[in-house]
Amino acid sequence: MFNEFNFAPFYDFLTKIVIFFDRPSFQVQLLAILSAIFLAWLLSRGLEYLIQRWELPTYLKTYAQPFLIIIHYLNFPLFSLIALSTAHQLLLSWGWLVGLLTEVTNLFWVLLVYRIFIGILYALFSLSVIRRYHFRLFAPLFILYFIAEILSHLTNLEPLTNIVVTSFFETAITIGSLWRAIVGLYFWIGFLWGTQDILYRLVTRQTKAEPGVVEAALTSIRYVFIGLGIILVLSHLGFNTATLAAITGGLSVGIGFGLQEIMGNFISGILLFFEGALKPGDVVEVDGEVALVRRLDIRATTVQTLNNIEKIVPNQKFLTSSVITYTGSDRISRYLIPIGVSYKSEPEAVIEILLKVATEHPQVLEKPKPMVFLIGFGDSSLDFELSIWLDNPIIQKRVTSELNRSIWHAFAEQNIEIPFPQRDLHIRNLASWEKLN
Amino acid sequence: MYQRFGKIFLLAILLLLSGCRNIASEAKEKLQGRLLLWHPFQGKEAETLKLILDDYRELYPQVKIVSESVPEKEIAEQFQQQAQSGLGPDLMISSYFTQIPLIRAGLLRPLTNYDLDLSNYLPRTILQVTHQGNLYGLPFSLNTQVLCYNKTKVNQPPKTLPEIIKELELERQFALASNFLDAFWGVQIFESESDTVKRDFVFNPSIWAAWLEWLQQAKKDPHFILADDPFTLHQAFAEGKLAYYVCKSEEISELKATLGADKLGISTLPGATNRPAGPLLLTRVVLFNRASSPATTQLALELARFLTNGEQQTKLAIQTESLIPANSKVKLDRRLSPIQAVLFAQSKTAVAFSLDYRYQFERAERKYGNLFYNLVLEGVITPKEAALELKQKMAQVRQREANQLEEE
Repeated sequence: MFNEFNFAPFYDFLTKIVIFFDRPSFQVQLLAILSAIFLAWLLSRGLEYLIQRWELPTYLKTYAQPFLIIIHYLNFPLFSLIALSTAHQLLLSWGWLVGLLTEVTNLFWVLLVYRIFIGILYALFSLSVIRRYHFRLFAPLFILYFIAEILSHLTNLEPLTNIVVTSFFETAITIGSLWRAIVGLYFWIGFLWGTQDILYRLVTRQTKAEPGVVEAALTSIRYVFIGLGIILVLSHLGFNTATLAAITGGLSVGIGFGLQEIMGNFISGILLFFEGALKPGDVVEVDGEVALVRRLDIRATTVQTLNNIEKIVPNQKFLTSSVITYTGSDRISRYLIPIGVSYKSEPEAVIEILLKVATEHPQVLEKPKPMVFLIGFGDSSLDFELSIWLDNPIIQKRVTSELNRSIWHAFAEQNIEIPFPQRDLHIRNLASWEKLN
Repeated sequence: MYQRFGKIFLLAILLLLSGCRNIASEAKEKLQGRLLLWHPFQGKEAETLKLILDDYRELYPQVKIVSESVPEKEIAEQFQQQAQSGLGPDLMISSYFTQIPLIRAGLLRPLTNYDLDLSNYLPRTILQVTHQGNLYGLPFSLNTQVLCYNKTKVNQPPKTLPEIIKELELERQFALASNFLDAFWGVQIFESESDTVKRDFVFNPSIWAAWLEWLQQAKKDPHFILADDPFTLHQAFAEGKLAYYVCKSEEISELKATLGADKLGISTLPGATNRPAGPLLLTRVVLFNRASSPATTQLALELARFLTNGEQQTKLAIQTESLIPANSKVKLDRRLSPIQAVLFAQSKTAVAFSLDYRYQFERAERKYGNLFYNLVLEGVITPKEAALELKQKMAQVRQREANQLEEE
């Protein structure tokens, strides 16, 4: 691969950087820029420290919060701009060149606008949501812009980007095309993710569509567009349709043997999406444990157990083995609570109490209505079964506990005894205490 | 006794030789550092420059040179942008008239305080690197116009303007680009003898009017072709449709390839008996970045001197077939290098505007030169009227320039 790699442009690039660093006017400007940025950083940290120590009256805190967030985002670029402008004026008055300072100042203006944008987003929307957008999309985009601006100002990047990394199916892949492909694909995926997120929020808020179905549909569409993006990237790299077919053919064989499991999961993921058998928000039983489906990805499904533990289950498992789902066609499920009472108790009174307790519970559904069955005569108790319906399987344990507590209190009030097994111990030969000693 | 003397003599010789070797190697070792060079050359010209730089690298391995080609139209602007930041090349080869904005922005290093021997350069080219008494660069190569002719159609090219008319009568087509600057080469022919081949050329509109009159007359012949688009003429000549074409030196290499080396003939432009034609001389000069450290500038000057020494300039002329040496000491044999010899000869009669004058002239020409030139050829105004108008406009531009300079 490296046989055809031409290092000369890299070497020339580094030599040019060394040449620039050797120049007094460059050194002076660089020193001024670094000093200005360091000073601005110190000042911004100082201001943040003061703001943290500033005791605001409680009634003002809510109103001040958005402004404090914006100040947090703006103080560094603002201080930097002030410091850079001062350095600019000083160098100019001393007869030094200031082009680099001007360029960096312009970049800090862009940074200021960017930080205003981010600050407003944080001030207006949920922290966790914006943070995802910030770090996945905006920050990488800005950092790339910043680096590209600095590098393109330092040198003409064309010789570097034209370096051929390797040839693949007679298609020369250059650093530039590879870089554009990777960055382009990253931002395309990021853009699709952002669009899906916004559409999901809009659709679930504005319509009565099932959130899980919406997410599954949007995720499917996203994967189709990701596929299109990959094809576009490959064609940007210079692969023609024949080459693409060759690559796909080659990959198919490789995938068939080496990545069988992964491909199995991948195909299963696609089938799950299109069948709609499973969607985020469903409650399923995985390995004997009830769990909530959190996320459906193309390779695996993330479920959350009642113990708040997340499990990543390969998609293939949902297709090749039987899975209990509590939320298949609807979300309503029946739960049975066994109760035993003393033989002294009136069965009708017990049934009445149990039905009353069940109907009074806010989360027990009225329709289908709760029912009580006398299911048998036990060794020491009359055995009843309270049948209730819930629309959320996750709360089953809590509701059962609450109903049991209410039943206990209701039985206590009505003097209905809940028997428990008693054992009488008969000792046949009791040795004397003295003998034992 | 003799043996002893012999040993001492041998030792002395060895010491002397080792001393000489040390001096030579010290000279080599003394030159070290890194240089960034920008040039506008492409193709054959860039290849030749690379060969010259390879020679330099071999001679001075401690000097690392990064050479970059930047398109001619962008080179000055890019230099300005970069040099303002303390970046850009240490030395740049570009057309001489790109200097003024760079000098005014304080981005070029004046070379007046460096002890430079300028005797090797064509004296008129030194005017093209001098601004207000300060030297700002060194001439590198020249470009000008010559007469290209098709050997299958012509035996002997015309030497004078009347001979052109005779050729037209023989139905041999004579083509030239029709604009103020491309058709400037005939002005010098109409100057009085005392004015010819002056060191510092000054445009005289009344002489220009005389040349325009001749052009008007020649234009009446259908075989005399004046066309606005130089590219069309170039194509027509390359396809063998024209007998004569006033071509630029940078076109020769391509014409040779397309028309064929055996068919392409090159001659100096026709003049008068004692007054040669004066095409414009375009000098490419080596300029030095003010941002470079003094030591780097010294090194860059060493490289510039190497690039313009007789040996390298000869190589430049022979291998490129389009660049004319700026070094006047270069000897080109007409039998071995006929094209280069003609180009070199033409460059010696070419009109060289001084840097200051060209800048004002360029500004006046851009606005009014083409305008009046076309009005005359279309018969709207007479050549004398055009000369008068142009003279007034140029005076105005010059005045404005002077005022601007005073303000600065």
